[in-house]
Amino acid sequence: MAPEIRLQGVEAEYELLTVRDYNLKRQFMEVLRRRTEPVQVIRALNGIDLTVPAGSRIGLVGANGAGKSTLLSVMAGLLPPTKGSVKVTGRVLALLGGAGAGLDQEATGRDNIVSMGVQLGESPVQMRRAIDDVIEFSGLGSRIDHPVYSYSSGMQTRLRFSVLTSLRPDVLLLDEGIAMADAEFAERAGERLQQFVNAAGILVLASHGDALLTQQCNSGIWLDRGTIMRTGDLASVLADYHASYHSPKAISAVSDV
Amino acid sequence: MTEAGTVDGASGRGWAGYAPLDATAGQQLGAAWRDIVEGLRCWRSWTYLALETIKNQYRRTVLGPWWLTIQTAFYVVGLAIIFGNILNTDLKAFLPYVAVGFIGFNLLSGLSRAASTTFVGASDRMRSTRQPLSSYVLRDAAIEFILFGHNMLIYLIFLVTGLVPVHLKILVAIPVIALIGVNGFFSGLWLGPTVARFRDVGPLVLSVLQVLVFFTPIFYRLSNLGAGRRRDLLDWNPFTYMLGAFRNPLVGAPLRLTDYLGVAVVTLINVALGLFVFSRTRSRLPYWVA
Repeated sequence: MAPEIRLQGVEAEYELLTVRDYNLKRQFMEVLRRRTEPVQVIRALNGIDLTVPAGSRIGLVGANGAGKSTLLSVMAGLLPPTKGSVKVTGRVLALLGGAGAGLDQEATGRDNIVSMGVQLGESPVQMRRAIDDVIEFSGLGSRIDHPVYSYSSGMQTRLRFSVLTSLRPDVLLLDEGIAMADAEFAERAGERLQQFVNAAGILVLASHGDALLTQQCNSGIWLDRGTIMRTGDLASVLADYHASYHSPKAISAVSDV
Repeated sequence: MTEAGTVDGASGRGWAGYAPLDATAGQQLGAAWRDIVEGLRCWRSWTYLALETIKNQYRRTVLGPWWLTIQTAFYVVGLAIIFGNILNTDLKAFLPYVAVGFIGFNLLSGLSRAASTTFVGASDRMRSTRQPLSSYVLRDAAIEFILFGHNMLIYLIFLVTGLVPVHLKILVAIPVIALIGVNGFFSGLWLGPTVARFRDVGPLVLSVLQVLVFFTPIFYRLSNLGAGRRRDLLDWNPFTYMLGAFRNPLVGAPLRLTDYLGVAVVTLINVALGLFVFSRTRSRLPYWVA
């Protein structure tokens, strides 16, 4: 079945838990007194309707805190929406979080390749079989047998990217972190992404780098404070996004819609 | 069509999906149950990750996790000498009693500690990989059992040297250890989300465990204590029963029926509480640890 992402009326609300809300005694007393103070919430996503067909290459743009990472987490199934539905067909893999997210810092790069694959549903045996290809693509050479805490952020990103793309995802979700890799790796990563999309995979890439977006994506989604402002071909979405913060009027005009 | 709020999991490997926040209790329990089944099914994955975690914890040492065995051995020999003297008992009989008691207590308190930190500790992994939530609990419980296995070498030495009699009764300990595992897992399903939501509970658990060292018969016998109110505290301590059920068959002491009834009651409570809390909190948990 062709990969597809379908979001309907998706809303994601974080409860802003302060020390007050974390306090069990206080909560208990509030229940006893039948008076509960509402928890502060941040609505990171609001009424997102989206259908992404196979072979899409989408660039996700928007200001810091616009909800880009939350949207990727929801698509990846890591964060259940507080309202609405998410339906993803195909195998979803996501490169999210900080450079070393999900890596064991004490373990070697080699051991981390296997552990990462195992956490993503592969067997240790399968991973050991695939390990040489992953190492080769990562370009980490002999450093692969060093513990990951000795790696730079860029190297950790390279390692994670190499594992993820070797697992043949149908849907690949990439956060800004990918921009940490160096130029040489970026070029090879770009080629690999190209092959992936040519095989009808779906790529969603959140980035602040227009060059990277233009290179990898053909359509765009502009998010602002949890709402989709515009979708369409990448160039025009980027143009609208950049215009929005250059002329304050434009943004209010759009958000009034 | 999927229901509102669901994350469809049909395509993902080993993924139960999330019940919507406004789902009925039955739907929530169903999603939680599927999560547990998926978690158990991927046992290869969490046993592998548990072994790797231990390996990495001790990576820069020569003896690795055997350090724990050595630590335990030093500790129990010291304890047995001092308490054997205070209580005026024969060291040869007292040493296995203290050692097996201490090893059992270590397993119980280790599982409780792991249960309370399991989701908070997994936040990094929960934000980057999609695994059944129960598999985080299973991994952490498995770590405690691997450490327990290393400690049980001491018991093996007792058996070989004849400090404890080889007897068929020893086999009774096997189902008890399995039940301790069941309790460890289900307590993670209720304690883990509770700690993720109410961060004060974590330190509270640690404080209670510290006091339980004294209110669990590890280095004294129940018969050493007089009756009275203070003795009642031991009767309300679930570890008293679990430790008794575990230790008595191993050291050749007479089995107490109350221990086994106690284990049964504690297990039922843990399973019920685990299913209730886990099913109610599962769809919110990723937000609490984010």
